[in-house]
Amino acid sequence: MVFSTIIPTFDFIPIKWELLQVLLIITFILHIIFVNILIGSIIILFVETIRLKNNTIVLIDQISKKIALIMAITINTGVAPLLFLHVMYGPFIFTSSVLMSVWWLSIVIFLIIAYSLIYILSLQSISIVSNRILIMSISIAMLLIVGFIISNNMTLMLEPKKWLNYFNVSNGMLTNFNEPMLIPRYLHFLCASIGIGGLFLSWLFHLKQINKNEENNYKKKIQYMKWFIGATITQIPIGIFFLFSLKSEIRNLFIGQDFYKTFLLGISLITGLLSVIFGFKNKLIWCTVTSLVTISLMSLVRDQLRKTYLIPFFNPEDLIIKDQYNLFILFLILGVIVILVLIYILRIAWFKEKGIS
Amino acid sequence: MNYPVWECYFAGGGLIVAIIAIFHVFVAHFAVGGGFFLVITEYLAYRKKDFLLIRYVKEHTLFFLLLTLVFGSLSGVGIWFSISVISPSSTSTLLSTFVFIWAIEWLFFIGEIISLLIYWYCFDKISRKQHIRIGIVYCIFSWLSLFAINGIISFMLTPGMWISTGIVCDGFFNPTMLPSLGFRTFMSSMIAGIFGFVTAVFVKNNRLKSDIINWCFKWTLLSLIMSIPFIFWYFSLLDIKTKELFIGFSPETLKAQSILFLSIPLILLVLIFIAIKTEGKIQKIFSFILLFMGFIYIGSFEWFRESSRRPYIIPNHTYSNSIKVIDSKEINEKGILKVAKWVENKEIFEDNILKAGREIFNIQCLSCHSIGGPLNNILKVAENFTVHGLYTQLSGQGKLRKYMPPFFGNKTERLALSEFIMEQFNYQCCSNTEPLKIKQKSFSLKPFNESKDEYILIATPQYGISEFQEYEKDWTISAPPNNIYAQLIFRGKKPKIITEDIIISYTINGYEGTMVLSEKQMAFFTDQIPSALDSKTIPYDPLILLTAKDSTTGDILAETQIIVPNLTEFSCKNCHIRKNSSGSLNKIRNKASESIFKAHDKINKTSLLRKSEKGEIINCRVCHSDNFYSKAQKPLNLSAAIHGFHSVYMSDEGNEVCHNCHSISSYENRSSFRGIHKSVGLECINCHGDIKAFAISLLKEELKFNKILANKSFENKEDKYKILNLVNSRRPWINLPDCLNCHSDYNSPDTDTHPIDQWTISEEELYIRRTDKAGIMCITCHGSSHAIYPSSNKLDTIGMIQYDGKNAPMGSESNCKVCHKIDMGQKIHHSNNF
Repeated sequence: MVFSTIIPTFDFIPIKWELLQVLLIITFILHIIFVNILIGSIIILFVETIRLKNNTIVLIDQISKKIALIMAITINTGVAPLLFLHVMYGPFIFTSSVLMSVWWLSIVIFLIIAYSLIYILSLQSISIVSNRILIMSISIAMLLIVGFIISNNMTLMLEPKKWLNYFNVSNGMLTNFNEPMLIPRYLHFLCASIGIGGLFLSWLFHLKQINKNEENNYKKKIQYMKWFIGATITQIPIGIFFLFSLKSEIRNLFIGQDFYKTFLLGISLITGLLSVIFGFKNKLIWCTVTSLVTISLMSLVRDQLRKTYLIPFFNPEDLIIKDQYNLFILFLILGVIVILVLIYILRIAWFKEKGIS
Repeated sequence: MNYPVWECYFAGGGLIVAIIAIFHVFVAHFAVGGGFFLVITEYLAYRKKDFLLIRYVKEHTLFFLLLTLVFGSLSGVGIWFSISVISPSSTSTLLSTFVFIWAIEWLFFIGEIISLLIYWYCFDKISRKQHIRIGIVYCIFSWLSLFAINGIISFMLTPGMWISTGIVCDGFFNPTMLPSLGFRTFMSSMIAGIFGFVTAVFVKNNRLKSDIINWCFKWTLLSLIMSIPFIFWYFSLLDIKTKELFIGFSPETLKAQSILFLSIPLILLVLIFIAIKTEGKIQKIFSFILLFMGFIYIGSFEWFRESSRRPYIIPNHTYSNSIKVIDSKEINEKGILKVAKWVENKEIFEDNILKAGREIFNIQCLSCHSIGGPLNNILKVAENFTVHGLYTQLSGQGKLRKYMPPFFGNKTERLALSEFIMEQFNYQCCSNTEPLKIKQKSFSLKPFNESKDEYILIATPQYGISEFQEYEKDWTISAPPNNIYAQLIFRGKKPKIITEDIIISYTINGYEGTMVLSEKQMAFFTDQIPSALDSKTIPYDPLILLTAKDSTTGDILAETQIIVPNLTEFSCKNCHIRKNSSGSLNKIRNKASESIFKAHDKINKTSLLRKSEKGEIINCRVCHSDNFYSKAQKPLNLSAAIHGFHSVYMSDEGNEVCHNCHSISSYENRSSFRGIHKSVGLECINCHGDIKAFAISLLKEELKFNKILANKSFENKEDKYKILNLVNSRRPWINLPDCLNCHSDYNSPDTDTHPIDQWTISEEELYIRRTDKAGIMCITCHGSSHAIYPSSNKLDTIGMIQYDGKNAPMGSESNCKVCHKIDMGQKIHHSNNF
């Protein structure tokens, strides 16, 4: 059987591909930031709990509530990019999801377990450290498995050749373990999470320090910044590993053959390095700005990578557009309104909290 | 078809979607109603300065937040994940069509969770006014997300103008959108009230508990009452086809609707009980019962909506198995395996038929049917069939019971699917079992002396087919009873038919009776020959001895014997049989009748199986009588019912279809169609027309009396009117094929060219009633219909052999001496005789 004959046919797209791409990338950036914060901060706290034992309990109590909140937001921010991904790459993402249905559906169960455990942690009712370690390790394991399943799916969707395995494994248990870029890609994401998690925790103590100028808060701020620096420096070998795990014809595009792709990768490397430098200099705001720019540029690189893999199988130009620009504009207007309303209520909460403390 | 299929046979039938959806729907509605409940309760508490009540609101908010945020959003994602792996094609259509509605819903949801989190975190930290304002923001966002999702959900039942325009707004603002929105709004409010009870019963302060329970009582009651008009509005707007399903074709739809309506008074009852009577533990138990009832209320509504949109996911656009209506023509032309992308077996051969069947099952059945799983288990559905039965069932699928999509593909693919499904049972082939053995009594021919005997007595059964049911012990179709006609002829140059001063008696299996004279036909007939079962329920060929006596002297004038051959191949078992039926042949047959009762009970809401288990012999004609004309509410006559129903499932087949039920086996020459017509190569459809025309002619007569069931028996309206104009109506056993259609002026036709729907006008024209110019009945010389002499079964012609010495019509080969004692030259009986 020829793999090209099994690629499902496209339905249609509602607006121009490029506009959908913008929506996908913006919502993805929003989502991945929360993902990084969630996974990174819980991993860092876990390591600290093991290292420092009882000394971290107060810290975890303070942060776990926020993590539960972040997890709720993370899940919900994931909906939009997944929605646009399905509309733009439907035949690919739907197919790979079916091929690994069991794993794909298990994400929901793992997330429920992880969330419940993080919530239990946030209730501050577990005083025994070993129990905390157990709860944290299970919830981290769940989150890491979820990330790994998603990585599997996101790489499997790129290679229709591998879909032929369906005729041997049709029970939804297919994986993409033998994909060379899977592990480096996953490690890349994991390392980024630890970095952003560190940055997030650093911000928390920075804000605490603004409210209460204590030595401990400053120390903590510096300490978590080190997590950021360490993780971001580690990204360099992992990034190279990732780059070289790509097929040579694709890799070459990102290292000189294609200007736009090379430019994007180059700029993101520079901003990444800048963020490390700002990190060393303890300039939190600049470090954050450059990190956010890096995340955004890396999201663009990621998008380019996907597009490059799929170019042989479809051309966005050929897709039928069923005009839904009116709804697109309505979506943008409502987006602005929702943001304004949220700013209004966040201000109420922000100022009141500030007032009390 | 466009996508691969997740081969999860146990969880097939949407089990995973169902499990996740049940919880999601409940929690998601709570998320909408709960906001209003919290904010209004907080406002009232604030006005009354009831700080205990404010504390209750705060505690309830935490419970609300945890439940809705965690399970609400995760189960929502779960539904999306599960539908995308189970029905990727339809999910893709829905996502592409409504992408911005989903995206807008996502905006509202983001607003919802952030405002709820702030509402919770700022409890007691900001001014009450500001806090309530944040609560109102939450309520608006949550209701707006309901508004967005409701448009898509109602679209999936009534897509409205979208089908023709393709405009998203036409689909979103569809006919049931508003009533559905109203119903869901008040239903969510009711669920919020019920959850209020659940937390209230745990409040320790008695005064507060009593206040909250009273408040929840008013809230829930008002919400429930307000939801009722919307549910009626909703039902009134469903289109005709959906209504048809609703009225009774889909058992699930009916069940869901009954449960929905039943749950309303039950909720009221429990509500009043909690509010007035109970305390302590009982109150807690009842609050959970109320929660369960709310679950049932909302669940049955969703179940109704889900089941009534079958056979579609999107009505008139995509079938439940994700096959698009627009693709169905191509699939039927080319075959499903050729068109589908994710199949290995593009063609079917003997060695890959099961593999191909499996792939067809995956594409067409698995999205709704599990194999051995708890939901829509295909094994339960198919257990009453044989391979052939299932194959036949598939051909009519979706035509009569319209909640099933039709089968898509060609005949070989249909067979492959049937083989695959039946393979799951370790199926034992039962359709080729030998017919039930007939006990044959030995007999010798009565003597006839051509030169001495003055009389000949010729007897013929009314029907050549004497189909004996194998299932007589359980039930009887009981076709019109077979009678025997006899004519006594006084031999001579001018023979006479004797009807006066004689008695013709008959003896059958020890039973004696006297035949009755029909002056009009100058023949004697039996009232009804007794059952052809002996005391051990073994069928036998009744050997009937007929004796003509002088009524004055008692002298025997003539004697003859006839045998009415029994056929034991009225072959319901070819299709209807339960799985793994093995053991004695009788057992298999009992199983077949059991499966027929089950099917009849399911479709027609009868209780035949129960009656049969109690020992009652089911007689079809008690309900399906031929005498119920002009009574609209009565069931159809048996011929119309049985052919009308089965024709739907056999309509694409020709002559073969008749033999599914009416055997043509050569077993002891007991075919239901034998005789000269068979030997010259005619088939059933030459005289009776094909099954479709046959059935329509019978149903059309029933339609004259507005019989409801006749209407339902048509495959679809277009067909109905098209065919109604082509086929004449007829009554069973009265309007039958007329011999003179072909045998014009009694000549032998060269070919069969007559239209199939020309029937005898009245009983007088029936073959059984017709006579020649001398008054001799046609059947006297030619035998019964379906066994016209010469017959392949010699038992048919023992009378002919007795008098004429051959298996042929009486007097054939110009043997006029049999009656006339001398050779005759004139053609007096009819033209072309001898």
